[in-house]
Amino acid sequence: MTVLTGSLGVFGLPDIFRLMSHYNMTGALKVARESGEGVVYFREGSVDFAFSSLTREFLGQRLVTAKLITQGQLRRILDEQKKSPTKRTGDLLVDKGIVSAELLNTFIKEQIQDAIFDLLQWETGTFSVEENEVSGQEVGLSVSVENLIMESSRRIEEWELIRRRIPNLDVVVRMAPTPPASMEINIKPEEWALLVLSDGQRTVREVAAASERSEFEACKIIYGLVSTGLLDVASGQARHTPQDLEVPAIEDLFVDEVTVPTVFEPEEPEFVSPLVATPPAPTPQQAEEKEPDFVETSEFAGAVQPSEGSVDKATLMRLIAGVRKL
Amino acid sequence: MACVNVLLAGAEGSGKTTFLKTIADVVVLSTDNGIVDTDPKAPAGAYSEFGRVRIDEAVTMSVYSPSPGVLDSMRNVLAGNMLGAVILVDRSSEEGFDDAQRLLKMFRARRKAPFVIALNKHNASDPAAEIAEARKRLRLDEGVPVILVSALDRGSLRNSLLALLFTALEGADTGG
Repeated sequence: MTVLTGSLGVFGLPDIFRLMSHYNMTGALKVARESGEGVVYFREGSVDFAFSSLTREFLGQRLVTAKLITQGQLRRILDEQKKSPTKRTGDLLVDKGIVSAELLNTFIKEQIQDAIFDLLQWETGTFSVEENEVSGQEVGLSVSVENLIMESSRRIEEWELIRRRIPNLDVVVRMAPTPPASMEINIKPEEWALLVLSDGQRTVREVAAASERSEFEACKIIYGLVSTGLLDVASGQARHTPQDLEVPAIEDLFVDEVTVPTVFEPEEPEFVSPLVATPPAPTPQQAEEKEPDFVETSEFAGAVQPSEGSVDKATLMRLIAGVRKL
Repeated sequence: MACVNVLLAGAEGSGKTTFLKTIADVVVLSTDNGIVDTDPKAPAGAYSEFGRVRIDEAVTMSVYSPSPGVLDSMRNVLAGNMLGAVILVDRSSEEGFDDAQRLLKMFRARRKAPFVIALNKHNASDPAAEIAEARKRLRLDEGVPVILVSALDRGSLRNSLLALLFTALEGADTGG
């Protein structure tokens, strides 16, 4: 039964949240505007579940983005869901042992929070309250309204701050061309991880996905890195490709007939190339010696696996020209 | 801005931090132990470092020196635009070669990754003997450059990067 309707221009959602909380109401607060709609379910005055069409990312896709399931696993689950439409994606993923119930709950709660924080920012549209309408979801938040509103206010303020430096999620972040004044900078591990991902190719959205953090969390960290001068936002969204770069002629790279320098002599550099020098032939004894059985430790097992041909020849030549000037 | 990644690998005390401070425009250190939480086997106090070398207006070389305990977690990050690795060896200690061998095993298993050996803290009086000794003890293929460096000397570090670049270029030429 609809017990309340109105305009968000007159009553802000935080006010309605407080009203629902004050009267310990159970029901659905439905909001709508031109660009989307949303629902917040309350259970005895606490927020239980929420959905926003603007932030909605299907649970399965969110798990794929976080690399917790593969696209193939999701596709198979969705195919199965077509045969059993009453079963939810999350339940099928748990039933098949692809994700744990705990992990699923964590993701659902994050999804709910994101929806609520999005809805609380709406300043236009209409709302209605349907008393005693419940979500029917097994996983809920059960978070007090005041905590949510405070957290939302904090997020909104932080987003405003972040937008001053990161106007949208589709901009590309890169290492700042002008280094900060300080030569040595200490940063936290999570900052380091995002710094590494900000390679001048990925957008902020892609950096967030690759870091397996929420966009808000990732933006906060990137904002800090931009503020300290380590990162900057590339103008526009164009990405350089190696083919765009002016490449020095190959002969320019060998003007000093330098091949590969191997010996460091501070006064008079003398280069001996291991690529052209023939190493001493192994003695018969050496030739018979077996490769030692190195212990594969967990420290390095399966570590860095550079992709084949990931740096093209044109970029290599450009790098050689640049490094020689260092 | 194109960004190329270089891995600077080496055991603790091999001179990685000095290397970065000498060659890079900006050095970033991450010393919080929280980063090793994902790998309980990582040594306490593990740290990761990063240095950026600006090549020109459009190309940047990023030199990453993750501590051994976090190398695995860096796999996906470093794989993109990866040029190769400089393996820094502390020539002054026996352990330096042992540590280098473990790293080499990793790189030998991935033959597509160019790498060079940079011998730090070496005895510069007989460079040829130093290189020969290193080649023998590390059982290096003839195509793997061995560079004598001083982590405090920019010129020698530049040479190690050049060696890596030429190795990568040769690989590009031969399609390997």
